[in-house]
Amino acid sequence: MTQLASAVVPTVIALCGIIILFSKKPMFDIFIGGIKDGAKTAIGLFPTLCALMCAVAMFSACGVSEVIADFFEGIGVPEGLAEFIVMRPISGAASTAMLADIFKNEGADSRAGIAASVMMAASDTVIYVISVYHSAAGIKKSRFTLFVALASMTAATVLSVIISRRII
Amino acid sequence: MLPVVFSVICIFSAVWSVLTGTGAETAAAVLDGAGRAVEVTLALLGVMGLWSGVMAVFSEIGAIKKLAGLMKPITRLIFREPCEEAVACLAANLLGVGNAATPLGISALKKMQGGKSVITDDGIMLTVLCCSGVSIVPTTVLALRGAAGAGIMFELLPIIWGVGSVGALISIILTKLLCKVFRHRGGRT
Repeated sequence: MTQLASAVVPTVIALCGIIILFSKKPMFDIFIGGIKDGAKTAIGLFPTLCALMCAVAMFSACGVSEVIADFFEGIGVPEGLAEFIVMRPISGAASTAMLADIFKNEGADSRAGIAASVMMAASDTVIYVISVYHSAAGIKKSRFTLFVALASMTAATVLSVIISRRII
Repeated sequence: MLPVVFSVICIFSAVWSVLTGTGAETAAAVLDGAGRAVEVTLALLGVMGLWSGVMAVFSEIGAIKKLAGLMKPITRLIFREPCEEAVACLAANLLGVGNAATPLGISALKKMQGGKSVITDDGIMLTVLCCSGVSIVPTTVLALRGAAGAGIMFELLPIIWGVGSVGALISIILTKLLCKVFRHRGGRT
């Protein structure tokens, strides 16, 4: 199945090549034009990313996440998992690194390992996604987007922890 | 949203670091964060460029329109006016191609907004669905588990799908509900 999944991307690119080769339209120019547009969007994201990532880096370094993590452990979240829960909505790079740490320290088949795997796969870096999407689309007022995203993420998190307790 | 999130995180972290004596680490982290933003932008530059190019080719031959048409029975339940890009974005998310979904999501959002600076109901729906990130094959997690020598691999997939679907369902229901409660004054959204 992993092989199947890793075949998706090369297949899509190959299809693109076939279209470029056999179409009567100047498909390669259209392809290049698309890349140009995408690159423009990415460059336009830099100011937002720079601000956001400074804030996130400060948050991870100042030590408050450990205090929040202690609280989560207090209400029955497996050890090692709590800090991952705190960082998951904020930073994709940090949560990936923490997932690898949990696997190393607690084992991938441990309670924390299972719960973190489910959480990693079934949720996303909420704050990053909302910031990037909304700043690229020129949205100033997000209304209740963050609330809904965090509420659904909380539900997924609770569910992951409960399920990990049942199967291990 | 972003100005508030940024300010709250920064002020809170700065005060906390002074109070608990982690000032040096926090100071270093700020510069580190700025540097990381450059790395992420460069990575996005390549990936978003490539996928935008691929999507331009596929939409030129009408493949995106076709996909959107096929998925319309489902997307009409979720969005008020589903656009092609939104469908393509959700499909990319489902396939788990990661960053490929980002340019699609952004162009879908731009289309749904039509230049408005206050988010529309469909815009909220699209964003929260991208956040709940259900993917059929979660490549990163499977790769990391494989590297860690995990015994439980594919048995985990149904659980991931289940939890992801519950998350997405909650997002959809909450958004629909809140859109009804807090109707946006800007008329039809």
